[in-house]
Amino acid sequence: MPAIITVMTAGVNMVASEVELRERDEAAIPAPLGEEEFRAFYERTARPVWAYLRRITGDEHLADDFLQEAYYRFYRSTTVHESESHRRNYLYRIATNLVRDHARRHRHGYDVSLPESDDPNEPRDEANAPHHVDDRMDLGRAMSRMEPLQRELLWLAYAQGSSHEEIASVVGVNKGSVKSLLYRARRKLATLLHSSEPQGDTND
Amino acid sequence: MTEIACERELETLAAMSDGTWPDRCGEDLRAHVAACPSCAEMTVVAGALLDDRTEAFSRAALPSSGLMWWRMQFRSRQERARAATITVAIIQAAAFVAVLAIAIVGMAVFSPSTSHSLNPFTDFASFQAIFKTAVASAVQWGVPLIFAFAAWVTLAPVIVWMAVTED
Repeated sequence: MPAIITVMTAGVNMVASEVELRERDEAAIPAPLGEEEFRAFYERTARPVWAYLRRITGDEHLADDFLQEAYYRFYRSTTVHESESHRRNYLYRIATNLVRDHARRHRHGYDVSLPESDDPNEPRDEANAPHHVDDRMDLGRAMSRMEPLQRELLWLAYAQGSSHEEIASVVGVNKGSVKSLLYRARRKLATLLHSSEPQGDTND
Repeated sequence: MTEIACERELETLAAMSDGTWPDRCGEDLRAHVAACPSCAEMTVVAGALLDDRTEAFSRAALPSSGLMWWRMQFRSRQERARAATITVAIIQAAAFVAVLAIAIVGMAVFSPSTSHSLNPFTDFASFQAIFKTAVASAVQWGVPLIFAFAAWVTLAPVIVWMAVTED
C-alpha cells in the first residue's frame, strides 16, 4: 500500500508541479503585448509587412497566411524588445524566416510566381496613370529573376527605408556584407528593369 | 566597378520616400541625380519599389486589429489545452505502467505455481519479505485502492484542465 500510494501521490505532485512551473514561467517571462498595445502595433505594421511578404513571395494568398502566422509567433515570443524599431525588426525577421522555411519544405526554391496582373475589371485611367506603371508591371517580372535574398534586401532598403544594420538583423547576414550585396542586387534589378521596358505593350 | 555608393543617395532616397522627389525637392539635388549614375540608378530602382509598395497598400485586404487579436487569443488557448492534455496522458500512462509492473512482480514472486522457477528472486530474502508485506497490504486495501485510483485517473485531467485554462 505505501508503494502504490506513493506512486499516486507522485503522479498528482507531478501534475501540480507542472502547473506551478508553468505559472512561474509565465510570471517570469515578459508578458506578451496587451490588447491595446498589440492592436496599435498591428495597425502600424500590418500593411508594410504584408507588402513585403507579397513582393518576396509573389503571392497575395501566401502573404495573407504568412502575415497571420508571423503575428502569432511574434505574439507568443518571449523576446524582450528594447524599442519599437527592435520590435518591428523582430517581426520582419519572423516573416522572412517563415517564407524561407516554406520554400525549403516545398522545395520551390522560392521561385516567385509573378506577376499578378492588373485586375482586368479595373478601369484604366491612362491620363492619370503614374508614369511608373510599366515599371511596376515589369518589377514583378524582374523580381522573379532575382535571388530570394536580393529581393529581401532591395525591398527592405528602398521600399522600407531600413538601415543596413536593420537589414542585416532581418535577413541574417553580416552587417558589413549588406552594402555590397545590396549594390549588386540594385545593379541587377536596374538592368532587368531597363531591359524590360515596354516596346509596344500588348496587355489589354 | 566601384561599389562605393554616392554620399547623396540617402538624401535622394529620403526625398523619394517622403514624396518631395522630384518636383518639390531642391534643384541642386535634381541636378546632382541627373549627373550621378549611381543616384540615377537608385531612383529607377527605388521608384519602382516605392510605387509597388504604394500599390500593395491599396490592395491589402487585412483583418482588423480586433479580429487579429481575437485569433491570437483563441489559438493560444487551443495550444495550451492541447499541451495540458498531452501532459495528463503521459502521467496517466506512467502511473498505469507503474501499477502494472508492481502487480506483475508481486504475482510473479508470490504465486505458488511460479515461485519455484524464479530462483533469482528467492535468493533475495529481504527483498522478498518487504515485497510480501507490500502486497499483503495491497490485498487488504484492494477495493478502496481501486476506487481511489479510478477517482484519480478520472479527476486529474479535469483538475489540470481547470488549472491551465484561463478565465
